[in-house]
Amino acid sequence: MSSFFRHLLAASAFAFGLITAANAAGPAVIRIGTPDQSVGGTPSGGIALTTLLDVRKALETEFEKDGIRIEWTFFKGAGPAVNEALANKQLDFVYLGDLAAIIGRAGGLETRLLVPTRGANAFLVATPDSGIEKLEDLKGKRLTVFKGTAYQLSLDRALARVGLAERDLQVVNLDWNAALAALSAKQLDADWAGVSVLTLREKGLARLVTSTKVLGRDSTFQAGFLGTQAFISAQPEITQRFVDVIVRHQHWISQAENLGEFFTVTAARSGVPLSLGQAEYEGDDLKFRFSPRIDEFVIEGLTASVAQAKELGLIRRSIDVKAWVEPRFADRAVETLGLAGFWPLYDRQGAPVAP
Amino acid sequence: MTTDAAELPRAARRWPGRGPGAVGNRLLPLIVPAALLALWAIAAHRGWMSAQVLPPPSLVWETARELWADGLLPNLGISLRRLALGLAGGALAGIALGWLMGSGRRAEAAIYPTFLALVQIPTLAWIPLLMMVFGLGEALKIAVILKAVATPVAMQVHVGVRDCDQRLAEAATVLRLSPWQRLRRLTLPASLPALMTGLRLGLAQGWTSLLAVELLASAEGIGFLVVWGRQLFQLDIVFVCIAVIGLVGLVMDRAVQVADNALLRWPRPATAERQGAARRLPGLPWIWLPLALLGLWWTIARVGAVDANFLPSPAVVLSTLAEGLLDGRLPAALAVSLKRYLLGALLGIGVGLATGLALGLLPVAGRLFDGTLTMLRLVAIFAWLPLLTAWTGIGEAAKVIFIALACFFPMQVAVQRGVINLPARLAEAATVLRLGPVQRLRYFVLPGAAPAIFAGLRLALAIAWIGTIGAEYFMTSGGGIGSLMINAQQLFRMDVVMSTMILIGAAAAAIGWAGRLVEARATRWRAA
Repeated sequence: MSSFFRHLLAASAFAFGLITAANAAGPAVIRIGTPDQSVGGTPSGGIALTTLLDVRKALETEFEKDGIRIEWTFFKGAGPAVNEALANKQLDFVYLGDLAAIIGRAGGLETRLLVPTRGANAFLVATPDSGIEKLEDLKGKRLTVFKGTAYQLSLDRALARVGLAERDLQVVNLDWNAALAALSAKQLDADWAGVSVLTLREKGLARLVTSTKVLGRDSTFQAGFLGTQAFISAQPEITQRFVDVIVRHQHWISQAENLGEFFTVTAARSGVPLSLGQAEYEGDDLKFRFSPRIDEFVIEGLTASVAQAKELGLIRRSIDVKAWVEPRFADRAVETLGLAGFWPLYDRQGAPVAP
Repeated sequence: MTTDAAELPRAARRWPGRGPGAVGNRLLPLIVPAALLALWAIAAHRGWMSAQVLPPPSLVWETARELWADGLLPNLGISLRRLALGLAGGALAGIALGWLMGSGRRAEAAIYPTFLALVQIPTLAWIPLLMMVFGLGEALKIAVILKAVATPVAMQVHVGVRDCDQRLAEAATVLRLSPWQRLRRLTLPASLPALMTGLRLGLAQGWTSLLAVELLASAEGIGFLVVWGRQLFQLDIVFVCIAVIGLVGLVMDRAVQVADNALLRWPRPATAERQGAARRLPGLPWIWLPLALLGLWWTIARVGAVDANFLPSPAVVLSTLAEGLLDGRLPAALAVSLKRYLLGALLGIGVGLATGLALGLLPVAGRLFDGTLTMLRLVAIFAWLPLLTAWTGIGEAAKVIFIALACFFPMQVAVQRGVINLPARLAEAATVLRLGPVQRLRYFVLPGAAPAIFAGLRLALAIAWIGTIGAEYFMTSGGGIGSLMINAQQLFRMDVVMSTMILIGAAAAAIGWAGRLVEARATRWRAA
């Protein structure tokens, strides 16, 4: 009897040891979520950093030796669905556009912005006979934008440049797909959306009027990798290695000679036509777009977006961006990868200020 | 036929304890909602779930008061107006279609398969064409509701008219009733029970489709509030809307039921004989309607009335279809969706059947759960998504349960009503014969309620398809034909969209046809 208990004790001690060892070693799985931007049969993040990481199995390779699995989940329901999954504690890291991330944080999600990407473009297309030649011509026209997404903020910033506001236009709220259909059916004059709207130009159903490439960096929007505070606190080392992998790949894409390969890899996986990828990135400063550094541009840009969202009633309470960003991991990654000086810091207008 | 009390036992059976001194019974329907409310409060208080996904009742109450002050009623009014118009149009269209399909075997054979295929192609796929025809205004929204309402109404009326008592039909023929008299004296009253069930289901479909409708170019309405609340991650707004939608829906459903009780003066159709459904018409009568539609489509494309980007010619779509079929993309996607569909449908229909039987046979259970289930049924599953993913995760299981939920309700409603509507004489016979519970179920309840059960089954199978596409649209990506269709919409590849529509419709029609074979076998005893 006593020997049975001794065995039991030993076994439970062993089991306990295993459990604590497992905790110290890290989680069994890292769960990453992002909106699905693919147009083919395989879900993916579109022509984006996430797709590159996924196709290259970069994170899988990094964490294979620890027996940690990487689980990518792509959400058709985009930002809202990702925020819900975060609230349900079903994700550890997410890659999101700025407004969705702000909405989540303002709604009480304990996230931290770890690595930014920036300068995502929005495009204004109009039907051939709408008579819209420039931004100012939008006055009184019927324009669609998917409200409650980063594009609404970007539109408002662009309009403000020419002294217009949403109320000067007839703004119709439609999701991406419905917007394409409505514009093609000539039920609307113009559409402010992401690069996939250029698909209508290729079909001769709409013209490109202008884009944030022309309008300047302050009307673009930002995105980034966020981690949950719970994961970061419990697994700072894993988080650091996770960020290291991302920063290494940001360095790779920041070099113009790799852009062609980036397009090929991500277009093949996502089914998004190469031409759209080119339209999104071509002519952009890649170092700007993929800088992992949380600088004045990121902080001021997000702060302005928070204020804008509050004003539009998209969030109930304001958030402190400085307390939300967590530059520690990206800074350390830049240092350990020997990339100090590779990316300049950018000021609030997006001009490089210091190496 | 008589309209004596023996034929009308329903009111008495459904409200067993009504009358003086039945206060306990009147409180019965409140028990489940009260328990759910208590559970919610405890769960929120104990922090069982994140406060964002399950906001505490106090916050929801606060938000409700704010919304009330900030235009909740006008929003509700706008939605109700859209619903009323859609419902009226949908009921008329549904009755006309159902009557047409039910009135003759030739018409049925010619129209039904095409009807079944068309209604199961998700509305989402029709949106571009609908926008072209109806614009972005109210007409578009009402058209979408109309389609949602017409489907169940047509399905139920079809059965109601078709299965109208053969002896009565013969009598009508012998009496040489004029077509009008025949309609008024026989067809209408005989198909009324089915029509009422169809209306209730149609009401639910229309009410739930408000969400999809108000997602389209709308900035007002209760459905818009749900979508907007979710977009802004303010799920307390969604909860307020769930409560409002459920309560208003319940009132409307009760109104239909009252009308139902007041109007029905007719023997139950359950035991009606009908001419063998298994007997087939010669040839392929169903092929003509699709061919005619194809011809129409071809002509429109040929004349160039519509931009080819919008409506590609049949030749282009067929070649895209062939290409997709040959390179294996379409079959693979279809297989993924079909597996999901079958699992979800099996689960939902099984649980729906069991629940419907239990609630129909046990009056107390019926009283306990009826109101709650009606409320839940009338809130679109979309509104529950955050909770659903919290409970079932973000994987494949969540999609299967989403589909199961979508088809659970039509099944449960149809079965429960089928059981409640069982002829009293047969019930007496079963009692006299001293059938045990199992025998009673086997020899009396199931065969007697078979027409209603199969009508529910058909609708459930159709709605499960729509649920499958919905799951692929709203939830995480896991491949599938619906996913493929939505992705093609992203690039406005209408040829790909239409080739998936054809495939979805064909698959739906095939499943419907299989369901009919099962139905014909199971109801062989009714053949004259």
